[in-house]
Order: sequence, then structure tokens, then C-alpha cells
Amino acid sequence: MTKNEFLQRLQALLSDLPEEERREALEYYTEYLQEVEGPNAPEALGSPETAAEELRESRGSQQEAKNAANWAEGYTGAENGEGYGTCLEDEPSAGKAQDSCKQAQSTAQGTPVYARDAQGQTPQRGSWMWLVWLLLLIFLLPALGSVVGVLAGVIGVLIGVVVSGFALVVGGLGGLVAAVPLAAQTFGSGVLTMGICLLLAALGLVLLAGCSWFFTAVLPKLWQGMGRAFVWVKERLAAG
Amino acid sequence: MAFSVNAALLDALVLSVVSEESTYGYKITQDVRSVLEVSESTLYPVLRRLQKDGCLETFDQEFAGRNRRYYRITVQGSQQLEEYRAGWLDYAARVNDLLFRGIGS
Repeated sequence: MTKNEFLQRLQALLSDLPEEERREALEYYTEYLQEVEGPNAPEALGSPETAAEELRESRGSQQEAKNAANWAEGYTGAENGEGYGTCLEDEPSAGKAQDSCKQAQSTAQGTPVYARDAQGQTPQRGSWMWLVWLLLLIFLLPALGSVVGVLAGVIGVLIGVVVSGFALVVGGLGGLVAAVPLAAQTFGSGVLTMGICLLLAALGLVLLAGCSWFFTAVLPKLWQGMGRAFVWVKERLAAG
Repeated sequence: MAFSVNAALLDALVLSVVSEESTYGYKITQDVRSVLEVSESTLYPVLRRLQKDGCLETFDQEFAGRNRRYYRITVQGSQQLEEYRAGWLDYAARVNDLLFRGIGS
């Protein structure tokens, strides 16, 4: 890669940085490459991508270090620090006790390291997950509508069946009682009516039994299955 | 054999190089790279940060018809360097202690 290519690529990569920071970085690398002989950027300089990445990282951690410094008032070491995670630079020279050093580390210096982890990894994934859920919602909303429709239909049918069952049982028994005087008058047609009524009542009982089986045995399993399916989808999403 | 390089060590070495005499980015990079295995692009963010923190300041000087930006250590930078040096001695002593324990004569 030639020097010019390196600088042009770097400029493009830093295009979203504040104007002044980009200009300073380009000035630095322009000057730096002037020290190097020949038309090409040296291997040891690495790619413009790496250079841009390193600059970005240092900007991020600098901000975090500042936040930490503001938070840990009175701790002077933090303003230079980047979250080194050791007591290396302060402990012996300042003659601080081990404890106070540890304390400083856990506040001023420990924080940036943690903050970097937290800001670098988890929320990124969090926001990504959020997007997935939103997309799922958008795509599933029409489907959700039809699911609600189907559920309402099923509930309607169930209510209808239960009511029919009751009606058949009550009507059948009522007809049975009503058919008693008829049987006294005309025995044959009376017994026939009573038989039909008993059959209708039996049919009602079968319907009611079927409903109770559905409510006690099928519905809970269906519910569990849906719960499991939901958990499974959620785990797949979390793993992916 | 490369041991991991952390930001404090980089800061310390850059401050030490600049404290010797005011010098420019390319030279600082080469000096640091003579002891640490870091990419040449690693040094720019370090210089920038040290400058922002008031440990280094810059001035421009002409060289061979073009501009060279020199870095100079500040009073604050010198104090920071002393802290790093003391810290390093203590750290190195403790590492040596543990690393060579049991190799006594």
C-alpha cells in the first residue's frame, strides 16, 4: 500500500470523527510517513483499519477514564489513567497503603475497565436483541391477529358445544317427562318420543363429557406446549 | 519472547523517551518498538492521550524543508514519569521475586 493510499483510506475511516481530531490524526500520519523512505507505507505501520481502530478505542476509554475521574473525586491518579487494572503506577511512589490503593483501583481505575466491557459487549447485544424482538413483533403482528381470531373461534365453538350439551340434556329430560302423559294415551308414540328424548339427553351428556375432557386434559397440555415453544424460541434467539 | 504490553507501560516508556530530549513521533515510535512488540500505529493514540492529559506538549520545527512536530515533556509529565519509574521498580522486584524463587545459589 502506498503512502497516499494509506492516508486516503485512513481519512475515509475517520470520516465520522470530529473534524479537528481527524485533521490531527492525518497530520500526524502524513508527517510520520514523510520520515519513511520510499513510496510505500511500512509493513510495521499495519493497516489503516488497525490505526483507525486503535484511535477509536483510545477515544472511548479516555471518555470512560474521565467519567471515572469525575466520579472518584480527589483521586488524582485517575486523570492519567486508562483503567490499567494494576496498582503499578501509584502504590509505591505515593506511599499509599495497600488498602487505599486497592480502593482507588476499584473505583477510579476499576471502573473504566468494567465500563469498557459493559459498554463494548453487553449493550450492543442488548440493542441487537431488541431489534430482533421488534422485527418479530412487526412480522408476527398480522399473524397474531389471525391467532386471536382463531382462538376466539375456538372459544366460541366450545361455548356453543357446552350450551348445546346442556340444552340437549335439559330438553331431553324435559321431553321425557312431557312424553309420560303421551305414553298413557298412545303407548307406542309415547315410548318412541321418550326414547328419542333419552337419546338427545345422552348426546348432550357426551358433548359435556367431551368438553370437560378438553378443558382438563387437552388445554393444559396445549398451554404447556406453547410455553415450551416460546422458551425454545427465546433460547434460540439468545444463543444466536 | 513477548510479554503483554499494557497502556501504563506504553505511557511510561513514551514519557521516558521524550524526557531525554524533545523528539518527534517517528523517532519515539522506533525507540519504543526497540523494546516492545507493538504496531507503529499504536503510538499515535498514546501520544495524543498524554498530550491531552497535560503530560506532553508539542511544538513545530522545520526540518529539511518540511514541518516536524516535536513532543516535549511537561512538569506534570515528569512527575508522572517518576511515579511510573518507582512503580515499575516495585513491580519488577516483586515479579523477579516470584519468578526466580527457588533458583537461589
